[in-house]
Amino acid sequence: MQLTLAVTLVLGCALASSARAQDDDERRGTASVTVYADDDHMTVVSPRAGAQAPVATDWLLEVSLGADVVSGASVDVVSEASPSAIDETRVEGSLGVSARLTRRSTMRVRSIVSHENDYLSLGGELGATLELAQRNTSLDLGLVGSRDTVGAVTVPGLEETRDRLRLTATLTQVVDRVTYVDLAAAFMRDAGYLENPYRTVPIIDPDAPLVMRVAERVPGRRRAGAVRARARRAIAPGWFARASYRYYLDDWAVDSHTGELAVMSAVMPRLRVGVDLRLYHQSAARFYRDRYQLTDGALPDERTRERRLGRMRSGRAGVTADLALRPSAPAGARLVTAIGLWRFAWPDNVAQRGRNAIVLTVGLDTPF
Amino acid sequence: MHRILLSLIVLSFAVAGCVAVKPYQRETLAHPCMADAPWPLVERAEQHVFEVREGTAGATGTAGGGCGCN
Repeated sequence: MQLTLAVTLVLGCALASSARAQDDDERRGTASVTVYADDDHMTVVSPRAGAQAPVATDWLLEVSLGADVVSGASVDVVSEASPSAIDETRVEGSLGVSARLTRRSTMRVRSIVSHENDYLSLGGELGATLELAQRNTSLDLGLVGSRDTVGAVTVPGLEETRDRLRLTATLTQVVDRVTYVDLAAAFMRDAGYLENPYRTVPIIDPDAPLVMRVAERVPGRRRAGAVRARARRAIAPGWFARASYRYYLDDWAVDSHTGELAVMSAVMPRLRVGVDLRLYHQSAARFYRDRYQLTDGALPDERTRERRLGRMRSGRAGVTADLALRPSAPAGARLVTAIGLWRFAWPDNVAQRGRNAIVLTVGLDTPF
Repeated sequence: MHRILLSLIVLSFAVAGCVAVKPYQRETLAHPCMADAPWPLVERAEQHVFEVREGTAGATGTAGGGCGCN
């Protein structure tokens, strides 16, 4: 964590010194800490820092570094990942540049690296935004790809790869003086080793009082699509609302529905407050079963007890507050605080049917 | 899905010009609460929780790396 902050500070200073002559509004730094805690003894502390600064006319450099420090002894961890409580860290960094090509088009390139003791992800993003019709319409296209290397501390020598590809298109339209509408579509493709090497599946032999545990096995490819529609509207002077609906479907027969509603208000010149609600419902993968058994002495070809591939529901209610620390500077430093209460439910999971969690984020966004 | 992506691109050109809100009429649209992500620090953190805890993702406007399996 100290390394994360140190590297980010160094990069931030480098960006600052390289951009003295540029627009102050574009030189910004952020730092935040998010704490996740649930009633299953799991705690994740996630410090994150980032900076952006112009490096030449119409060129903007962005860098970020973050970590997830995980500790706990949940049902998942104790039964599937390791024989006892865990304490591990994931570090993620990104470096990107965006450029304004013309008055109405920008492009961006970004590299993303994520590392933990048994997992390495190397990825990149390529994107472009085009503004049309006097900036009443904008179209954003993004392509994100990564190659992940999967290992396991309990399986020496395991080194499998999985490839991920995400293609997203987002259309934003100004409807009138107080309303935006966004339509987004995404196509996703995962291929390679998609199992979790720590996860095993209990198999019942119907001819004998015997339960054996075998490794999880899922198809080697997953293709998915998602679409989202969202509206953003000023509903009264100083009051704003947004609502969205997202539908997801993949070739493992998992589909999901997500609805979100938020209301925000600039209650005072320096203070903005928002409340939001999110509801999520997901169906099970076609090969997910409450229990598996041998068929004519053979194991099922595809098997998993991954609760994320079973039926699930979740709900979140949250409050966010955003305070300007310097009232005279519109683009000045802002302190953001958010708290969210979560409920996850897995109706088919006998080991744990539900979990409650709280997520707290405190962050600072400031020019430098 | 490819057809949906293509339709969005075609739709963006089709609707362009149907609405003409002038720059001087955009005071409300330019308010920070009307931004695509009013609080990106918070939304990025929450999105990571969604991705780790739920089985589906996409069309949310964020990208990250790593498994965060636990």
